[in-house]
Order: sequence, then C-alpha cells, then structure tokens
Amino acid sequence: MAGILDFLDDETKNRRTKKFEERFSNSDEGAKRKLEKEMLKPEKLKHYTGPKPRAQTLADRSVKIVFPDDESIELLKKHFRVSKHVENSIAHPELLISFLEKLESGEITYDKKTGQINFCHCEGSAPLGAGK
Amino acid sequence: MQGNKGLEVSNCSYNSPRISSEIPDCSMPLTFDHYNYCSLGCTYCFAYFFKTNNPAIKDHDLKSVNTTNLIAALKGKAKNAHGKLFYKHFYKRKFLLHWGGLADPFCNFEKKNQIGLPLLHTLGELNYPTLFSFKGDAIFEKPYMEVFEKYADQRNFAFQVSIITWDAELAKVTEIGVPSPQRRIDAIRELSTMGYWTILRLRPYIIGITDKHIETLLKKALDAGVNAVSMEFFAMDGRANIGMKTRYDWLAKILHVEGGAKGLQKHFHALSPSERGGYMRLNRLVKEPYVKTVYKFCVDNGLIFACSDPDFKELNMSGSCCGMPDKYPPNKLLENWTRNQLTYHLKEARKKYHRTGEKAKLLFGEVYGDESYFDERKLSQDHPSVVGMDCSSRVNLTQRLILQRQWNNLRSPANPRNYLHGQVMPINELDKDGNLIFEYSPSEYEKYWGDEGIDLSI
Repeated sequence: MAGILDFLDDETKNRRTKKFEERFSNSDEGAKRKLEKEMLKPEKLKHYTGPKPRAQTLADRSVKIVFPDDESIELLKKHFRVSKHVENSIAHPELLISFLEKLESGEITYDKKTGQINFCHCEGSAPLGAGK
Repeated sequence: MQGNKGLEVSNCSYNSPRISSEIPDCSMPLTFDHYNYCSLGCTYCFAYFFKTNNPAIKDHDLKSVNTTNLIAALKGKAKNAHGKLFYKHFYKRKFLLHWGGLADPFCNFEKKNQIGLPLLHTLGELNYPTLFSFKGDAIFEKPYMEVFEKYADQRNFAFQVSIITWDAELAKVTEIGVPSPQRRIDAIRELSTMGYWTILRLRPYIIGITDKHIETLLKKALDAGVNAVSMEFFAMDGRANIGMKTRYDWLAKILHVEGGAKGLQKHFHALSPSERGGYMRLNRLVKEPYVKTVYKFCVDNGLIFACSDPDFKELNMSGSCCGMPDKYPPNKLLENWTRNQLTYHLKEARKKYHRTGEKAKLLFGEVYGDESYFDERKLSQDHPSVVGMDCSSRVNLTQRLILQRQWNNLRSPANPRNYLHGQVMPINELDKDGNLIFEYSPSEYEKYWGDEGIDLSI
C-alpha cells in the first residue's frame, strides 16, 4: 500500500517487540518484568519546530488595571463586585462593556483634555448601563 | 473507603451527573453516579486514587443524589439551576447517559438503599438511552431484573460489565468484595438474552493478571452473547498516600515486580512516556501483544473492538471507546453519543490511512465541532483546571477554551501529540484560527500486523 512503508526507515526501531518476545519465551513473570524494563523503554517524541499557535486564549481577554489612587479604586468597588479569590478580579464587567459600547457608537463622548463626558441625546437611545 | 460509616446513606446532596474530565476523547461525557462512593474494593480503582487525593472531600459519609430532583430534570421540570442546565444541553435531546463513572451502580450500597430504582423506572418510561458500567450483583435482584425485562423490546439500555481475569481466586484477592468473574459473565448472558447491547469491559487490563486467562475470558464472554470488548491498561497515579501505597504493594507482589510500591513506581516510570505527565501509562511497545490478541479475537468473531487506552485508540471500530455501536437500528437513541471528540476522528484517520494511504489532518474546529455544552460557562466549573484560577477567569472559562488550551500546548500531558504519544503529530502550519494542526502518524505495528494479515481498515 502506498505510504505504509515511509515511516519505517528508522532502523533503530527494528521491531523491538519481536526481539522481546524471542527473549521472553522461556522466562518467568519476574524476569519478564525486568526484560520489559530493559528492552521496551519508550522513545522521546520528536521536537516540534513549526510556528507557535496564535489562537486566542482566556489570557488574551484579560487586562490588568492599576488605579492611580484610593478614591478611584473605591469608586470601582462601589459599582463592581471585586473578588479577592487568588487575585483581585471582576467577574461581571457588563456595566463596563455597556459603557464602552456607548463610547464606540458615539452615544457618549469623552474629552481627554478636560476629562468631561458628553451625552448625545439621540432619539431612542438607551440610558447608560442598559446595553447588556 | 477509610472512615466510611457503613451502608446507610446520610443525605442526598451528592451532585451528579457531571461533565467528565475525559471530555477530549470521550463519546459519553455525561457521566453519572448516584452514590459518592462504591462498596467494592478493587485494588486498582482509579476513582479511589482520585478521591483519596481530592482535598475537597472532607468527610466520608455515604451520600446519594436527590432522585426526585433528577427525575424532574430528566422530564424538563427541574427547579434547580443544575437540572435546568443539564436538561438544556443533554436530557432534552436524549444524550446518552453513562451511569457508573466513579462508582458502581449495582454495588452493595444500592442493594441496601435501592435509591437508583425509581430512576431506572423513569429512564425506561422516557426511553432514555443509558449505558451502565458495573460489576455489582444488585442487578440480579428481582426489582431490577423486572425493569430490564419490561423495557427489553425498547432496548434503550446497554451494559458494560468489567472483568479483568477469568481466574476466580486471583479476582477474589484483587477485587475485594466483588462478585466472581463467572457471576459477571452470568449478568452478560442474562442481559444479552433479553436482547440488550452488552460489552465486556476489559479494564483495567493488568499485564501479569489479565493476560493469564485472556483467551478463556474472551471465549466465555462471546458465548454469553457480548457485542463488544472495550479495553484500557492499568495506569499508575504518580501521587501517593498510605492507602495507595498499600494497594500498590499488593499489586507489585501479584505482578512480580520487586520492591513493592516503590518498585512498581520505578517500573512504571521507566516504561511510561514522560510526555504524558504523572499519570503513568505504559508505552505502546509493552502493550502491543496483548492488544493484538484482543483485536484479532474481535475481528475473527465479528465483535466491536474498542480501546479507551490512549495507545491503540486508533483501532477503535466505532467512535465510542466504550464500545457503543455507531449504528443501532433497534433503538437509534443508543447512537446518541458525541462524535465531536478525538477518539472518533482518530479512528477515522486510521481507517483512511489503511484504505487510501492518506494521512488525515486533524483540525481543532472539525474535531470538536458544534456542541452546545462546550460553550456553556457554568459547565466548566467542575473541571480540575479551575483550581487556582481567579474568579474572573473561572467565570469566563468554557470546556472549549480548556480543550483549545490543551490542543495548542505541547507541554500539556493532555495535548493530542503527548496523550496519544506520537500517533498524531503537529505539522508545520496552523489553521485559520491559529491552532496547531495534527496529522495521523502510523505506528510501526501497523505495518507488521498488516503483513500478518490482520485487517486494520475496519
């Protein structure tokens, strides 16, 4: 069959199981265990040298934020439940996502110079925080 | 189990079914036990090793599931979140229930308490596909046999009976308190006679014990009407506690390995591929002659050969390594296990290779496909990998993300290359989503067996 021999070029394999069977034929069980250990050790797998996977992981979806002062973090804690399990984290960021979506859609704008948030009172726009 | 107070159930707070952590290559990840422990004392029991090393288990009281709640959930009337979730993803579409994952459904706990009986009736009434995995003989009791006789024409039940040796004396000292192999063959015969799909569960195959009378055991199972044989070799847990040491000392003696538990550990360490981590499984060279005997027997006698072991997993004749059929005309619900797992795709790759010479490529998206439970966040919370995770990561974790992480991490023992120890190998390209692509990589035995006239294209 085409292709079936192409993996057998490695002479070092040379059918160790057959040699083991020949040597084992007259041995007792204890000797067989020793022979197994001696003759049938596994080979190491070939090292992979191809491209590194770049599929998104959970870590790719997380970001660390350090707040500049105590007041800011306290404000965050008022609006989000911060878990201290293993490390500080927010399990339910829906309010933040809703805010970002409104920012993205232009329903609210943020002026970096003044730090002011401006609301666009478009007809039919939902109130802040009602996105999800 | 150390500290167990006896056969009485203390409460019904045990949470099951659950998603099996063997989900990467398991056809029936909906796994169920109705007690938290098993009354049988098998020295090789992997559930014992897991449970005695689980720091979350703080007491040893016998607990059962709440069958009232479970029956309501099966009928789509769950009142709790767990039941609703499992109905949505599994019960609603009658996904095959595997009863007997970490305990025996018909052990002495059931004989005494009969908690599983109303559930059995419900599964029969609902024509719910269920595979039982057992050794216990409560199944012979009249109320149980009556249920199975009642639904025999419906054939929604299937049975796996675990037997590791035909030698009753050897079994008695290896499987404490377990009915004899002959009694278990009787169970296969009775259930087969009723018309049910039955499987000889040759697990764990222990080299030094199981091979002694394997031909007789296979012949007896065949005569009793078995449809399939499923095998997996004994694996040694690298962790240690006093209970495990006692068991390993005993096993070392039976297996003629010098040095007790320590000697057994050295033996397994030397012969197990290091890429698979601390759960030591002997390499395929050691297992080859034993697999060949069972595989040939199945081919010669028209049985389904199934192999749950990562080595020789490619030889499965169905996509279920428990030995469930691909096609089952008497009740198609018994075909309702998932093909979105590695066993099915590896089997297909082996068949393709021996029929066409082509080495199939395995892509993450094709292997794991579209299963709703892969993306349900709440269904990943039982997975061992959540230990040590911060709350935010844990809440957003899904089974698909766990599978993908293992798929792409070549240092993980669960990575397909490592777990199957080279039977699939990554090629030098990624898929469109940036995942590794694996390719079928035939082992040397595939050439030798073919030369001997063994058909590997089934």
